[in-house]
Amino acid sequence: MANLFHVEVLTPEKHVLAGEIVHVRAPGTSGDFGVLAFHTPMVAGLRAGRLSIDFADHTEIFAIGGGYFTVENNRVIVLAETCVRKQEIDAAAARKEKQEAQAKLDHAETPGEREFARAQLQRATALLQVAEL
Amino acid sequence: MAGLKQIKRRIASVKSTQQVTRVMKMVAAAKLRRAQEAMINARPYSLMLRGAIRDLAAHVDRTHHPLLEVREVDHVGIVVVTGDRGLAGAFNVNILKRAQHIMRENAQHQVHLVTVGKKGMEFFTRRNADVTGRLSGFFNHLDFSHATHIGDLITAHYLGSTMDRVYVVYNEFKSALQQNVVVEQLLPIVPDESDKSRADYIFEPSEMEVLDAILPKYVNVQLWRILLESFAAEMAARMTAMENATKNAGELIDSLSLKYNKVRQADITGQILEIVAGAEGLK
Repeated sequence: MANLFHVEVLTPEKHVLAGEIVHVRAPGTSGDFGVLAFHTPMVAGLRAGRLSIDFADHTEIFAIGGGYFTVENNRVIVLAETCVRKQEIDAAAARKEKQEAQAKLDHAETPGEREFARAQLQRATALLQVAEL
Repeated sequence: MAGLKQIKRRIASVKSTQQVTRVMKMVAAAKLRRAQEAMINARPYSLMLRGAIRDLAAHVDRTHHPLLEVREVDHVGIVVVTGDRGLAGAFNVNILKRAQHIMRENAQHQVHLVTVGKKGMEFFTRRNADVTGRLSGFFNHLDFSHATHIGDLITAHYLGSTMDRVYVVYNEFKSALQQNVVVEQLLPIVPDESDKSRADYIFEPSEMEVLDAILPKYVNVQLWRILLESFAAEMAARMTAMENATKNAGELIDSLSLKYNKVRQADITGQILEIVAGAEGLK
């Protein structure tokens, strides 16, 4: 039996998930990383991408839109800006959002607008990637 | 004495007003329920993030990041959160009064306003105040991107030194019956230094980058919470205001009906007297 530890996934809009898990794999800003039980305390930035969580008997996959990750005392907290379960992704909507974001990025005038469009594009891209996995 | 017809018309008009206020009250109550739910859903995230920031800020050198650094104050930014609509009792007025008060307190500095909600925008634009940001019309379909939008705007001003300190004025949702006007300092971030016995963290990829990513988020999340609170408070205030209006309309209808009956009775009495007098005359 593998060692279990606690995980919570939160977004500003809802409490997505809490439970005892074996392994979590998250998209860090400088590359994906995995965390097992008894990990040393860590804080990490997350980029938009795929979050996969291995429970003892099954795996759940999410598309997240950037966020923040902490481990401390066998407790992982994922604060994601957006988080959608793989099964609930609307690929058509994501594709449309991606196009819109691309158009916005192409026509962005201020750095703020560009940054906003880029974040949107990354989120939509992550959604599509996870959906098509 | 007003004629019967006028009184009748008056009663009809008050009744239709009462209908409107009653519907508005019910709409506000329904929206309040949803707003409260959204607030409850957002709370864990906001609390966790605040906890994480405080942990971090407590053992990071404050000068490492501009959002933590306390600067000499030249420009003060005030985010004024009002509603888009009136008819909510003192909800907007209290905020505007408080905002003006802070403006006077900071008269020695340059004050820039960011108005959230149409009421505040109209109020300060009419008074030719220095309004650098105007955002409104989204409370009915509030989502996180609105908070991000405001947060990014403020962060950009703060980093560009066009604001050295930023306050938010908003209505805090205490209960369905009570709203409090609250002033909070948003930037620079005030860390809680009480807990210094933290484990040493690994920063991935680096301390600077993590702070860079998380601190602007802190601002956005605080604003998100504030928007949700303010919306819930607005709905609660409107509900109370409309409840009172409905009650007042009811009282008005009662007193008008009484008057109507009195006038009607006086009329009838007058007519009977005339008939009796006429009959007397024929004898």
